[in-house]
Amino acid sequence: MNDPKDIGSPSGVVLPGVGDFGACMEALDERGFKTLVLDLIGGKTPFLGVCVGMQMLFEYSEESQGHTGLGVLPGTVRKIRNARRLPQMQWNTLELHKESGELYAGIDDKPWVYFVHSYAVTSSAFATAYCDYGERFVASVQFANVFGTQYHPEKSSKIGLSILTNFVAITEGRKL
Amino acid sequence: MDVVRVIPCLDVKDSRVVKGVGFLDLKDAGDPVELASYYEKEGADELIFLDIGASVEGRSTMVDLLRDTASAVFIPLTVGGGVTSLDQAAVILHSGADKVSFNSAAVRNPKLIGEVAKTFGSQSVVVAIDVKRVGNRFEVFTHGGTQPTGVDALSWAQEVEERGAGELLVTSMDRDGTKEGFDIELVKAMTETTSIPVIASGGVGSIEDFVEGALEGSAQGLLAASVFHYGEIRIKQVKDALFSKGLNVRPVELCS
Repeated sequence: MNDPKDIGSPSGVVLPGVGDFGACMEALDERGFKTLVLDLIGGKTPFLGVCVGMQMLFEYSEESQGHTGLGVLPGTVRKIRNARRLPQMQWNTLELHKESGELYAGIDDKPWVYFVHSYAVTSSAFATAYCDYGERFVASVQFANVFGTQYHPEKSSKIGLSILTNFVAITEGRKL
Repeated sequence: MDVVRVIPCLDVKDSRVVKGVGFLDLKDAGDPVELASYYEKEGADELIFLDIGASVEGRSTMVDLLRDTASAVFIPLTVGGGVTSLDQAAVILHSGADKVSFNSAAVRNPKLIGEVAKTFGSQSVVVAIDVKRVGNRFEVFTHGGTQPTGVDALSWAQEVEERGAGELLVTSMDRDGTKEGFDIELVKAMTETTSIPVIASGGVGSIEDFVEGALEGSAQGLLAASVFHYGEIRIKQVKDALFSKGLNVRPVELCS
């Protein structure tokens, strides 16, 4: 996908992102995707940001001081403190919020998912799950139609597929 | 929390898994996709494909193999073996691999590590270090452990971390294939010297060997090939043993 016009009016959008926060933001901006993403989010299109795709929803990141994020959610992404090793490159369990929302419909408490990251948001009013690695950090967020996962559902085996299936159901407007 | 990963390694040549895996009740034990699915159900935390053909023809079949595997298997995949350039790494990562592993090429051209890390992020860069004991030190060997480099393995580990590697795959060539267990001194020295995740490899023969690698070597990942392929040890047994020693693992029951 090289041109924002190719997207048309999707029923949902997934924004992946690996690597450097600043590089991801630049890549998004360069081809006019930043405006498109903001328009889609503003237009209530279900949106899922994965890993750096979630981080970009926030305002800033310690990783790239010269860049700003999409600013859809308030907060700054920072390097994980007190971890024995970085990146966190492993499976870990989620502590789901009482109202973790539609993305976790049918998912048992403390699901195991796969993380690969050195940066995270430590707290958010929009957190739907937390995780612990050296310190407690936000593992997923939801604000209206906007979802984000710091972990990789596409690499989290059966549980990850259930989460993605839930997102697809959201895009189809189905009741979960 | 820190969670130990258990990682089977599959040797691939021209899109077929080599090294017999005849024990498994599979229609085609050489089919990488079928084997990868099997290991996902067994509770593998990740998979490593080692391309031992690494010919030009092998490269293109690797792309198809990765596409097929990544669309059927939903755990992280690392590919290594004969990757020498940023372009090759790009093809591998765009085909469905999450990480690419460099070995001899990184020794020859250390800048490659930084180039790939800058383009795709450190999390996608694994540096495989094949080590032999020479006198009282650990030395880096290349070309399947046949060529000495004169490079000290611990200094090399530090250098690749500085250059942007996100993970180390440390293989003891002295122990590889012996089933005598990991070279714990080596694993320990590596985890103490670096601050990125370390996968221990080479020599596993028993369940206790895995436990030792994590407990005494402090490895974040434990790699094995033949003990899994021949069904001598199942991943669940390894994880149960690790858990009973107080180590965190992703339980197998939940992912099968």
